[in-house]
Amino acid sequence: MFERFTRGARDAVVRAQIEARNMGDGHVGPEHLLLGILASVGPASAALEESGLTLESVRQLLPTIPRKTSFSGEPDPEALATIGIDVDEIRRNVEAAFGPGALESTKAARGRAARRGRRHTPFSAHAKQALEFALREALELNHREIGPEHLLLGLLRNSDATAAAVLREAGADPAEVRRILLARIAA
Amino acid sequence: MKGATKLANAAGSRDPAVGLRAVASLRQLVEELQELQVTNARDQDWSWQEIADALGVSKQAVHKKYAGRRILRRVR
Repeated sequence: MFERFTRGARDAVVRAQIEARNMGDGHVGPEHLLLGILASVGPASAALEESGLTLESVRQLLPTIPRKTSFSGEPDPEALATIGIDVDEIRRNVEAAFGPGALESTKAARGRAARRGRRHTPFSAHAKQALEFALREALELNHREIGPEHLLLGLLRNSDATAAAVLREAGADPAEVRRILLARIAA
Repeated sequence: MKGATKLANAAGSRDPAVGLRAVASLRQLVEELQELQVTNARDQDWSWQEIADALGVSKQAVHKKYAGRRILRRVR
């Protein structure tokens, strides 16, 4: 599938994976694809910006939107803090007794490091669906290649609530974004 | 401030996304701490039975999980 992606679309997907990893998420979801598209150059990011969305604003918005995410394997200090566990304090105490990097050197931790270090974070079912829709959108437009604009069209067709919720929270209407984008593609 | 705290503040602690991630994080942390402590106990010549008793699990469980790991034979 990716062989028909333009350089820009590939970069957007790679950026989505980085965003997912940075957020401690185990899968690339539609919301990460949206960030990847926002980081691209062209009609897709232009249409989103015209609708009031920027890379920074969506990055800030995402944590405030209830999302279903998968565990990355990395203990999340912020999640642990919500149940009163200070992971930094634990690390300090452990390292005082066993030396620097004691926790990280365990086999259990190296397993998660291997997961974190692997090149591809898997796509969620909704993200896969968005990519399939992107292909379909390109075909319907008689475009030979899939660019970030097709990724965005695919994302807007996706049934997943998260990406749509992000758009609405940002004050944008998915149908309107689609209309703006199609106008820009036709121009 | 990272994701989950903002999420918790925004959606309250009854948000399953935050609660489940906290549990998953805790479980991972326990795995790392347990391995570290079992290794340390073996280094100090505790038997598998003694370690199992201290952890409140069967000797088979702890032996199956940690025995034979090169890392546990590390000599300090």
